[in-house]
Amino acid sequence: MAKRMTPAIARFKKKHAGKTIQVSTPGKEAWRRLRRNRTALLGLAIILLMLIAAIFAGWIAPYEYQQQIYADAYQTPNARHLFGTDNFGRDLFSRCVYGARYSLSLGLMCVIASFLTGGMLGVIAGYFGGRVDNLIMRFMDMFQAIPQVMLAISITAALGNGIPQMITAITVSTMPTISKNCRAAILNVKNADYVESSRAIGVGRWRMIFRHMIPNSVGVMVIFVVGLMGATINMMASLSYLGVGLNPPTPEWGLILSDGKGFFTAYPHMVLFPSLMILFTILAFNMLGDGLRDAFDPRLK
Amino acid sequence: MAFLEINNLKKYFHTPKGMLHAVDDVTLTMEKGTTLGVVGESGCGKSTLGKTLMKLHEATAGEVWFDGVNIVPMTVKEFAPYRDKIQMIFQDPYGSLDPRMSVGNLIAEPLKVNRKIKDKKLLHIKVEELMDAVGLARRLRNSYPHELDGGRRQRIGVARALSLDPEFIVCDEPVSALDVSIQAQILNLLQDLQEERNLTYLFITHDMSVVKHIADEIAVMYLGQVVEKCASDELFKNTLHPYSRALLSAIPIPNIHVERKPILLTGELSSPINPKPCCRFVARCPYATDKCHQTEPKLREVLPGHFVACHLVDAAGAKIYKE
Repeated sequence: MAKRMTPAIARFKKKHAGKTIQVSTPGKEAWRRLRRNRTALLGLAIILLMLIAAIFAGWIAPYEYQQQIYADAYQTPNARHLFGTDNFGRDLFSRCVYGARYSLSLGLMCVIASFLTGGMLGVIAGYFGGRVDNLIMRFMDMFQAIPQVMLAISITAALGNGIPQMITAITVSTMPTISKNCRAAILNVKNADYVESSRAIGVGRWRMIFRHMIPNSVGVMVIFVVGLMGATINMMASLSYLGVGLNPPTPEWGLILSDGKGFFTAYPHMVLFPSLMILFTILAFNMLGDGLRDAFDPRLK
Repeated sequence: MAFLEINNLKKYFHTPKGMLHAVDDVTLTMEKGTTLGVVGESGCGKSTLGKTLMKLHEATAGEVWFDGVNIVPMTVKEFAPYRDKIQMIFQDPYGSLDPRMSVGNLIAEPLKVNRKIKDKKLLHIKVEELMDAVGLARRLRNSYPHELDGGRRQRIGVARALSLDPEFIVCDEPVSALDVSIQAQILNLLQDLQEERNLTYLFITHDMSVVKHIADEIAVMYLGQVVEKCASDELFKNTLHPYSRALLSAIPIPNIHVERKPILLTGELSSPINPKPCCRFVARCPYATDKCHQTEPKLREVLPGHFVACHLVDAAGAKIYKE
């Protein structure tokens, strides 16, 4: 008897004729799941927008960020100056666009730096335990005893304003939290059966950490990294706002905010736009972080 | 010399309350190509024994002679070449496989970390051979453990253990987490592999029907000690230790017309922490005498190949206690 084809199968065969079966990799799978999450996509879109602004700031911004047009000072948003101008007649839209470059790249650098220092210390503390753990964690407690912003302010006060100084300050002040989080994440998987079974097979300690333990805590770490990115941008803005971050006329959002604070009552747009930039960026990172956590967990399929 | 000789192996754990004697003075010998079943209730130290053999735990004292070498004093590095020969299958196929690795990677991992095969193509071929050997379809190569059922997952565990071509495999309750129908499949697989590759198994289980099916010899453990050891048939025919009797009486008989009289043990399991120098089973033994309370019985050969640690069995292998 000839095999009968139902219309559905026939359609399927026609559509997929000549195609080989696609093997799905974990990366593809994660992306497929992320694509279904609208909030995460929105976050991703905002971040991409910010990235484009950061990379192509020279083309997007109509003016130079430090260019002062005194004739245009104190303008509220209009067609020539989308976000208005400040007291020196600098175009706020241009400054905010250039600001993305500073906030994103510095935020990323801070996150990488604190993961390489605090994160690794936490991982080592969690994996080796005992005396090593105690030593590292008490050291972190020492830092944690000082409020984060205070610590960052004192470091920049000691080192002076500037980019490397600010990265150091933020890295050191976030180190305790990040190391504790990473330590907890490692402890969480340390006693898993697969760690023991991998040990039985001869997996060494570094492969164990980097191939088994960290990938299995990536869900926790991804939310943490992305959250940290937001927190770092926030911290940078705070430091700059307080005058201990970057030097004017750097178009850092916190600094623009700080410049505008004196005119807040008369010209609220001077603080509104940099604030919105900070707000949306942090929000976007948090939304993406949540989405990534869901997408990366193969058990949630 | 026997293929595997365990002499007076001890593994104690420090606890806040004192020393926990998880494995206490265990002496066993095994011949190549045989299966030794280790049975006992939860917490009797069977798994600890297996893990100590694999050097997942550092032994407190004792010797393990494997192929003429004592592996106990070895460091992790020195042990590395022996890891090819001694492997382990784990109890829980859900937890013992890294959820982020594909089946292919899981099976290839032992070969990669021990630098057995470096060429990618050869590795690919070897992985497929292993998958065939344990009855996993090749198309599952890129699947993840959570997509598979328990039996298939345990086959991955078996393939991982086999990948290094071991001579000796510690099977730590490899079927206790599986459905009964799947249990039979995995047991048959293990037996086939044993025949093909002349493997030696230390088969840890608490299921007497499983051990009856697979083991040549059986060691009954109670609170860290071996209380009886003999050939499998001998144990079922001529059970000497009161604890073994209770254990065997718990095997269900699939016949409603046979009246079962299970021996129900009363009393509490005595604590494995700082045990007193008396028979460990004394608190639950229905036949315990004063001697049992005062001295610890040693494992001795009462009949050819039949070892028992009980004061109530005389030197000729006769039971002194009345049933």
